[in-house]
Amino acid sequence: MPDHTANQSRHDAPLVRGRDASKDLGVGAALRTVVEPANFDIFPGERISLTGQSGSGKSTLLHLISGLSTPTSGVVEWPQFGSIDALRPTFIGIAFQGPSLLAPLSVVENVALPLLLLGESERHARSAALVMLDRFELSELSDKLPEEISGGQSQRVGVARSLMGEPRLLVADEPTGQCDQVTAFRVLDIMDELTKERGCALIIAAHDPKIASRMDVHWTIEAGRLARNSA
Amino acid sequence: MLEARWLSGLVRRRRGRLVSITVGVALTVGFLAALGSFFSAASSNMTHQAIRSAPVDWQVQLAPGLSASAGLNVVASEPGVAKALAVNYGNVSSFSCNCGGTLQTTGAGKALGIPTSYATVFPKEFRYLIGAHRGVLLAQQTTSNLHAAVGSRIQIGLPGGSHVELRVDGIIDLPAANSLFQAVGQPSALAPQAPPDNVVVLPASLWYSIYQHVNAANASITQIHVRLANVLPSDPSAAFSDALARAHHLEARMTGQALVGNNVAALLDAARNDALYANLLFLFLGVPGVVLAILLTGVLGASGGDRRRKEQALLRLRGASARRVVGLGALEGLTVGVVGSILGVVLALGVGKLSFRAAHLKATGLLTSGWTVSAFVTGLLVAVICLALPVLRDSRTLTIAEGRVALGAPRRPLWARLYLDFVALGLAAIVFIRSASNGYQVVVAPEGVATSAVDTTVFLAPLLLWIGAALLSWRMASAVLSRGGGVLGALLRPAAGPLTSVAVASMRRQRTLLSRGLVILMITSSFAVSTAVFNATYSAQSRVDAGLTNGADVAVTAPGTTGLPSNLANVVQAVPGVASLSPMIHRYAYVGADLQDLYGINPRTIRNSVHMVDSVFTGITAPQALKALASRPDAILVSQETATTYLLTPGTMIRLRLQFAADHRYHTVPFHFVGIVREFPTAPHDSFFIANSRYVARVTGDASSQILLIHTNGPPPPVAAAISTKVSPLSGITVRSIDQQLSATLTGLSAIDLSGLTRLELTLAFLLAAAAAGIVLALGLVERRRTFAIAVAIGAKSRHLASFVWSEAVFILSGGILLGTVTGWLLAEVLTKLLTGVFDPPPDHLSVPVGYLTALLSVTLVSGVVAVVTSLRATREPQMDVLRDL
Repeated sequence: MPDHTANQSRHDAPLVRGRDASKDLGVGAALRTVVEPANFDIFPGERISLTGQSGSGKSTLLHLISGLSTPTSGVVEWPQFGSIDALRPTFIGIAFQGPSLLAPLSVVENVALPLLLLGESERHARSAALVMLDRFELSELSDKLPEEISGGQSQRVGVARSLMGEPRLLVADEPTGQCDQVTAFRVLDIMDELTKERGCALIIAAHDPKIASRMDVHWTIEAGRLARNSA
Repeated sequence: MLEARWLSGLVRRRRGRLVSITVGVALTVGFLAALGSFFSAASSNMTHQAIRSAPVDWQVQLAPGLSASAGLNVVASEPGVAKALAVNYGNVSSFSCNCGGTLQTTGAGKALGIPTSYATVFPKEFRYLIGAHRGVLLAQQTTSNLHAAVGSRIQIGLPGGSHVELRVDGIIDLPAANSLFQAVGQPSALAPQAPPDNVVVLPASLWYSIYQHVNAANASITQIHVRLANVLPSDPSAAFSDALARAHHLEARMTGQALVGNNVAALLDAARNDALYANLLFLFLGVPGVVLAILLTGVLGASGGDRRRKEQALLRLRGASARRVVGLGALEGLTVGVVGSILGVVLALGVGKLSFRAAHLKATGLLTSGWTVSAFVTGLLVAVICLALPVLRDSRTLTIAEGRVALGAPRRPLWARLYLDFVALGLAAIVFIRSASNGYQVVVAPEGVATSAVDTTVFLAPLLLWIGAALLSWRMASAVLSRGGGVLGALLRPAAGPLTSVAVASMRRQRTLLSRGLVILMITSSFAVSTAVFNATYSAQSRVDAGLTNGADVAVTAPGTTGLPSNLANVVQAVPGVASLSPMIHRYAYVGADLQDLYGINPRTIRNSVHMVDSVFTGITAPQALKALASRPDAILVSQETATTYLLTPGTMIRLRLQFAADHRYHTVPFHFVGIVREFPTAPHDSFFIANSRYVARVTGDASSQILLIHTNGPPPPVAAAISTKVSPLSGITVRSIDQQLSATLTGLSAIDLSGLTRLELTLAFLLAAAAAGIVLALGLVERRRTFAIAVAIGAKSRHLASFVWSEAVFILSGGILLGTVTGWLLAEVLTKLLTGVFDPPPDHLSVPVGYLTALLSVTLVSGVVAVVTSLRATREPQMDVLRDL
């Protein structure tokens, strides 16, 4: 069984702890194990890349880490965050690889939503969203609807939204997959800056080795088996 | 094979959508087949009842000089004639009897000569009361007038002055005297001739032996009474036309030597009008239900359009031609159509069995009826249109790339830019006002004319009202959502809290989806409300109609103008269940040369026993009319028809001739015309008078009453049964409850078992309203499954989603139900006005079926709440299939 509980020297409790966590999908004859039993820890401020081929289980593992799904066997815990119900948007932010904006809401409303869900006032949420959009150089799109912007722009807005609740862990599933390389690196730069400013841990799934190389820790997953390459 | 794999995949992966559309098709087919077959069966039933109710189909009156045997030979050889018998009508100058020690003499009458088989062929003409069924049979009223009995010897005066003595063998009643003694060939515009008060029926041989020596002119006539074979078509209009044509054919053959009294055509004339009204009810009440079922099926078919477009685009990407993609849609439509239509026919069979038992709608009849075939084809078309048409449309208008992206922002629809909602409402008002100016003459069926038709243009009024109201509701809902953000925000803030602006923005941008949901619910609610209110009003009015015909809960009626026993009122008053009673005088009065019914009432007390409605009076209410009648002893209310025919105007003096008890002669009596009445309890529909009973009794010297109108404080039938035991069967007195009248009435739509139709319509309306609320909300939520999954992924809790969902649900439910109720009520008003001819008399106001409407509201709300709660429950867990696409 692979063990990814490295960095034992760290004194903090991990943000996320997985023990023998596996995930099956499908039913009957179509049932298959997408993530084999895996052990892992994610510590505060840690920056992890997750690479693997399409269908290797990257997204499913990220779903387990972010509490979007529960393991079929084993456990996934969030020692510093509490129960699974309290994870988002307070502690964990998620950026998706596909279009993930809420269609009926404008760009600024989408970005402000995590703060509104946290009970912030509309005025404060909106001004904070505008600041965040400005940071991602998306101010001119603030009043546009998701259907009025491109896929790349939509993905950047999604990244901006994922950082709005000032999470302590950002889970990003190929967050720049629909951006050109220049834009992608610009987005990653901003993500880097913001996560480092806030001491936010980051786990990012990526195909592009250049993106993966920007991270400190590298995980790979093949056919559902999680492996740690380097630290 | 791609087609088989595609179908198999749909069944496995899109089962819910397929099942819901199949159910929609089944409902459409089931309702259409049941309703159509029901009306078809009802029309046939009307024809059958009309034909069966004719005591004699034709009375062929022979011209003087033509022998009975010659006439009989011609008539009997006419195609379609099953039986023909000669009947002789001899005039009698007087009847007299020295019975019980006193000599009684009556006025003129008739002596009928009938062949021995007459009663077998025409059993409805005579009712045997006592004594023999053959020989000299004396009519009950004549028996009463002469104080005669079986065995009495009576003298009849013959034209020319001679007399004949006869021994009475039996006493009979003549239930169909009006038609038996009709004036054959009399123009229909003239008032019908009153039957003779005195009648004796003799064997043909005896009649000939008496009248063969009578040489006076016009002493007798001969009629050939005819029973037609079962040759008439089942449709009332066709049967009416056929009966008329056959009679004309016979008249033509006999070249002016015979006139046909066409009793069966007269009855079919009434039945065809009823059938046309039945067709109207089908149009007004049935078609909207079918349209709604189709609409809901269409909504179900359109659901998941984005997903379907993406699948379609993928198929194209994988190399399937546009034609093949459309073919797959058609295959899906045909499969759903066939399964849904079969289920629909099965449903119709079940519904027919449950709802239309009284209409004798047999399963085989349903299966073989054209309606079932039409409904089946409709089901196929609906399924193909709902499933294949969008595929065809998209294949022509979208490229593969366009198909893979969500569609753009909704545009303001064309109808809104053209203000078609206001146009439709304006046109509805114009059509309605035009119908009102015509007196709501929807059925054009002139008396005696073979052709009749429904003025279908009036159908446009409720149709345009429905469409206009639906479009206006859409406009209003859309306007509230797009411009009423402040109001919406204030309303939503308590539930949505800091998410208020987001919730309002979300609703504003989804105004097409929400407006569509609201309008669908509004349409179904309006259908349910209008159907329920109309049916309740119809039901209440049927009882009023039966009450008018019967007179009261229970009516005790003496035969002819014979008085009821003077102590009968006291006897009846003591019967348990009798709350109050009102005696009523019934006489005949001459206005000019026309003999009309005259009723004497006590205007101060009649309302204790009789439910009087305002609509039977013209220009005044019921209390005002009775007050006017009570204002002076000689006051009189005149029927609308009499007032029109004789140009009488209220406030004038009119002179009638009434028979005085002292000399049995008619004398002029002055009356003061105080008001016009259209209908009155027990009175005929056309010509009559209502006067003060005290005045009539005083001037005629006869205080006897002919009718007792009884109000019961419980169910009328047992009270009627109890009263029946108190009257002698020989007296000829009839006791009839309103329930008997309801079941026996052949006028209007009572001929149909409308309760079955009502059950069907109300059940469908109930199902549609409930389904609409659930489907509209559930589909709206299903279509935003992805939105909810994203919201949950970024941290929305159930309470956050609930604030969004409930805001929308409250908007759709409250708006749809409110606007639907208002529109439904307006539709019921319009329908009731347009179908004035169905109501007899028109209702004073609409009836509110409180129980049904409460249940409807409850089931709609419950359905909506269940849909919301179920959808919310489904959003608690992140939707993995959606998240995996993110």
